[in-house]
Amino acid sequence: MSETPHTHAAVHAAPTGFIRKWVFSLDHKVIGLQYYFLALIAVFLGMGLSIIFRLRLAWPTEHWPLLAKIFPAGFEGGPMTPEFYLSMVTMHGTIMVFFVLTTAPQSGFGNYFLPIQIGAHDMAFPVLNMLSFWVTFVSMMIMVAALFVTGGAPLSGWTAYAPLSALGQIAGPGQGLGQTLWIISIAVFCIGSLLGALNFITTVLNMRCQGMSLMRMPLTVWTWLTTAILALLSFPVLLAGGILLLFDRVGGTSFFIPAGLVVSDKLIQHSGGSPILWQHLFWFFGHPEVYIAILPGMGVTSQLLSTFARKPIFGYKAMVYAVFAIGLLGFFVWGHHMFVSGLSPMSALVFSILTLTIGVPSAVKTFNWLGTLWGGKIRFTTASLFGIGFVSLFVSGGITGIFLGQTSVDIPLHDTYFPVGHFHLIMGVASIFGILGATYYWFPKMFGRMINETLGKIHFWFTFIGVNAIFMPMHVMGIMGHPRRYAQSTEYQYLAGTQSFHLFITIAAIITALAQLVFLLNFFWSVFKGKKAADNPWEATTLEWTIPSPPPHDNFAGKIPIVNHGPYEYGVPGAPRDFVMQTDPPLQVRR
Amino acid sequence: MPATIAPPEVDNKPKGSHDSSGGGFDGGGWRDDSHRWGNFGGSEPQTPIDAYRLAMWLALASIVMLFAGLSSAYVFRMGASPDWRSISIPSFLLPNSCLLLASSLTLELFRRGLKSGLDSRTRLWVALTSLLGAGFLAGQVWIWKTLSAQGIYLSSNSHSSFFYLMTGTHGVHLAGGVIALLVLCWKAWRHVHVTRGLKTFSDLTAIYWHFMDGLWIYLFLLLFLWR
Repeated sequence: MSETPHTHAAVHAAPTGFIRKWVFSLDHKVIGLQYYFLALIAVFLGMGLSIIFRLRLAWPTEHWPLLAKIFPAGFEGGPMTPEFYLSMVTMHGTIMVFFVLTTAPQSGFGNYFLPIQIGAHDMAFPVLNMLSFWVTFVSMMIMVAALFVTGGAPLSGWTAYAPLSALGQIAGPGQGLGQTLWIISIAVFCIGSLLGALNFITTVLNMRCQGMSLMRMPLTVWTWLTTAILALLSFPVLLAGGILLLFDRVGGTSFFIPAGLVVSDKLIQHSGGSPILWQHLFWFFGHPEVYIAILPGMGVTSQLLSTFARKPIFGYKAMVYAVFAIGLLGFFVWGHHMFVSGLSPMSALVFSILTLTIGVPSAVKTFNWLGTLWGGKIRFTTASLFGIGFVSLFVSGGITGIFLGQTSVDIPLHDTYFPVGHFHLIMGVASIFGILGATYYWFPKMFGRMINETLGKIHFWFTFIGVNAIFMPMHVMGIMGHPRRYAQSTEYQYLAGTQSFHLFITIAAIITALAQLVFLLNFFWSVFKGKKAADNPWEATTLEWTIPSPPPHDNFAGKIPIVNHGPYEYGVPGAPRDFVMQTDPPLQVRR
Repeated sequence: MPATIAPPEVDNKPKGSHDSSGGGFDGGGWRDDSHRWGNFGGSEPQTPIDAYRLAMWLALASIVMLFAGLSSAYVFRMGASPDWRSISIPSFLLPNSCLLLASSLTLELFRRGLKSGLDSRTRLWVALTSLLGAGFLAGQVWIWKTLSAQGIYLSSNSHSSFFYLMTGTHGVHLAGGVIALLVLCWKAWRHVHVTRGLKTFSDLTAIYWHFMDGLWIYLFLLLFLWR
């Protein structure tokens, strides 16, 4: 082993071959883009699946010849079968949660910008980084394969509740090979996420440049760090649950399958397992997962609001502590997903109180965002609109969280459309707004060209109004008592009034989905034809804006920056510009 | 009294390849901190050595969570239904556990030996450690075989399910440790002197291996004291 000291320049000779540069790359920026594009494919796939099941809800008896050609098994006898509807719901949820909301904000943008924002030349373990992407890629391929295998995709929801998910073929066609592939894919995904989380934490704690103290890190870095800690501690529990579930299916064990179960007129040869055990294991992961999805969005929103309001973030330290408090509390509230599972009222009460406690740091964040905007000279760019939109959705979705966190309200609303509206606003769409805000904000840095603002704003308004039109009515439907997961509501008299809601939501969903094509068009047109971007087009302060757009192979061209300032020094009295970059020399008062 | 920004004192010259042996500041605004960077493993020479140690502890934290998940499932399942039947301790399990405990001891003897240099005896300790580790794994497989010969299978009852599952999951992790030990053997034979890379690798392997050892004691106690 050579003891020769390495220089940064010598180590970071850029790879020249296509394979090493773009496929099996060790460069965190390329890996970040790989994750981003993986999520981009996943989000359009997931959105497509949602449109398919929305068609069933709006026009239950309609025939869809084109879809029937792609999925012949799902259209036996003409209209979409209820089983196919459920499998679409399952795959939509799974693909969105794992391959979009977990992948893009953390692994995508985190990989690209975390090392740059802390002044590092790369992640701590580049090889591990490459591995975590390719493991995630394999996981996604397995998941997509589950759509097309014999019997079709699984239909037990993204939560894969046992015993339905544990029984195998007998519980339905998709519960055979499709469900097995689902479990394997999730297990593989866990491993990829663990490798990534390990790398993120190590990089933040060990690779910061001089002057980048923890309290000078951009809030995005804080949220990526917290998210990585959550992933590190929650994914192993999902993996444990996944292993047990797989053995129930293929090894004849009875972890989750109770005795005396009769399915399709057959007595199941299992004994004594507990379906509730799966819920505990799943939600111990599942609740932190919600924060894994949304925390990076909170970091991005802080970055956007501060930059475009031209003001320091209001209460930086409070924001950091709030992020940590949300992350920590997230581990102790999984029971609020199980209020109707026969949980003892005492534990339900404890889970309920802890759940409501999360309202406190969430409110701290919300008020600090408003405080940041207050009196600011706000520049309404597309990115800032998405940041403000994030706050709006976070409030709408968060308020209903307070409803559902109380057992007395949750019990009648559980398994209705109310939680569907709630979690889509806060976990789904708010996180997506974080991703989109980050895309519009960092696009110039990532691709060296500006993204078109006019198309961006059209995209924003259609999306913002669209998602509210989709998910707000669901709350009303929930209060009307419409159950989740039903493929059709026309057969029940008390739901007769909801069919017009279904129609409205489906039309809104189609329009919103079409608006995403504007984004896609804008994105690819701007990558190739957009106006050339300057190094710091937004006049922002963090380290990624000190280097060229797009950044060179080793970020800082062999140099390591020295940080003298906090991350959000806008409008500092006496400074020559209205922003002080983190690498600017210390401000000196001349007398 | 106007305050203003002082003129930049930052030397923007990129560093050459000749001056990176020292530490601290090099006069300009860009720091040369090459002394912090490890030269471990060859492929990632820019990662601080501390990072490897931290990453190992983080990996162990996630393994703790994996087994915490399995353990809580074990305890929950035990109380969930009256069908719980315990299996008795396989007779070879205790002696086999001694193999693993002994391997931790020999690994420490190897690490102590490293302090006085790489001699043939030191190398033998690491070889013996790998042998004991592999022996334990083989013993576990043999225990599985004897159990199944007695008609106790994975699906026989819930206690046996957990026994196979937990010993299997532990075994998979331990197999990774055996691979690390074999790499350590190979490095110990290849090197004449103790390098920093070898030292770091042996430290990391030791953290992992002792952890796997402790995890096994925990699993043993869980599976056979709490049944």
